[in-house]
Amino acid sequence: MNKKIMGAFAILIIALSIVGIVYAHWTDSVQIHGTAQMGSITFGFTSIIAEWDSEDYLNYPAEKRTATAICDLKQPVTDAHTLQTAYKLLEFNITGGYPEYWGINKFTLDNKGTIPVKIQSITLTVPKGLDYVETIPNLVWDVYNATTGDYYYYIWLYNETAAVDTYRATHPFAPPWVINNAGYPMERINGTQIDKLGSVPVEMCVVIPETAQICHTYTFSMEIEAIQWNKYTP
Amino acid sequence: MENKKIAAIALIIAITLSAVGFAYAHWVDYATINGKIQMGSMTLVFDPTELLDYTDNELTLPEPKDVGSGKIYYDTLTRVDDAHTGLYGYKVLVFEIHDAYPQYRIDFTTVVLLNIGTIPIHITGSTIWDPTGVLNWTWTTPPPHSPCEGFFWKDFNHNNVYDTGEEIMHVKIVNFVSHQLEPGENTKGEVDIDFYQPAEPCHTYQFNIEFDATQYEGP
Repeated sequence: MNKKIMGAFAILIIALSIVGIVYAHWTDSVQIHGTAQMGSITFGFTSIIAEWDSEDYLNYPAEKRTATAICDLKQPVTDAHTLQTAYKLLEFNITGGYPEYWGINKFTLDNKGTIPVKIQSITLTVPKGLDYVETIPNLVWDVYNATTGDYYYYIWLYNETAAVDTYRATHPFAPPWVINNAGYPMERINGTQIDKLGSVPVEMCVVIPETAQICHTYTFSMEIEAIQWNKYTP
Repeated sequence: MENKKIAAIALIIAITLSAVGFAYAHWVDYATINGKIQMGSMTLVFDPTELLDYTDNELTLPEPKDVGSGKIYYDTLTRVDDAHTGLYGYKVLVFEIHDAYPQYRIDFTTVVLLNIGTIPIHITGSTIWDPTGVLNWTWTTPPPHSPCEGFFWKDFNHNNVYDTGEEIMHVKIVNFVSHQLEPGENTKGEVDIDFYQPAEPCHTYQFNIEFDATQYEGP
């Protein structure tokens, strides 16, 4: 009996010693602590640079200036990284419009984030019953009544380039089609790059044709999509 | 009276003899072994002599930019000195990545492990995790393969499994695992990080990488 107890004890000692050897292996380690702070994209508008219309271009007398084309900036957002603010909505309002009236607003598209962006796409949305055709893709949209085919308004959206400024130096208030036809092709904003905290001047011109109806209110919504510059697809 | 004298003499003789006898009976000598076992040390650190740097992919883009950036430095509070060799190093290396964005790639190319202890060590593996628990890690080529790589993903739809479109960043660890370092020897590797499209703007992600080593155990 004593021998059995001694044998069991010896086995236990041997087993524990083996386990002890395994646990006793020396180990060590080092660590890398990493932090990845992602950048930001905050794209919007920040300023209305200028507003003018056909009444300025044609130098109407004061009593004939009955319409206005005015912009407002709304929905401010502040970038958490740069603490700079941009507005997500620009309202372009024509009041008292009439056939052959047009208004231009020059404003800035701004990148208040930390990552450069490029203008990827422009999407126009019009009310039910209306439709549009891009007579010059991504530059001119002609909106018409889907049933009658009557055109109600045209929209031009383009970069304010050096060529535009050059032409306007001698032809103040000139609308885009006049500049375009004078041999200074208007430049679409697609692909325009805006660097971190950068800004580009852009113009929108809304034209009312003869077929627009009297005493009506027309609306449209245009969404401008900006994408991180290295993901832009021409 | 006579008897007492005789008894006293006998007692003195007995004492004297016993004393002499005692001396003869206890002659001994000693030899001493003093043992001293000085254990070696096993200390793995980041090499403090390495000039820390990184590269990114922005200058190689079709349209070069300078948007994202990085920092790499030692956490000086984690300095350790090996008592045997007198060498020192740091236990923690810190990566910071700023203004990252999808498709941004940053390579920390100066990650150097150094054995400042007295025994050879073997780098057995690496562990990578998000200490905040926001991101999950999946190995695509796990250690002991070298390079080993995988990716962090975020469970956007909360179904506890990885789904396509949940990748945040890919991490590749080059040239550490399975390396053996002799005392005083170092090995240079790198950690490359790519950000995927689902990475969220204006978010901060954290990650830890641990390199584990054991004492060399023979071939």
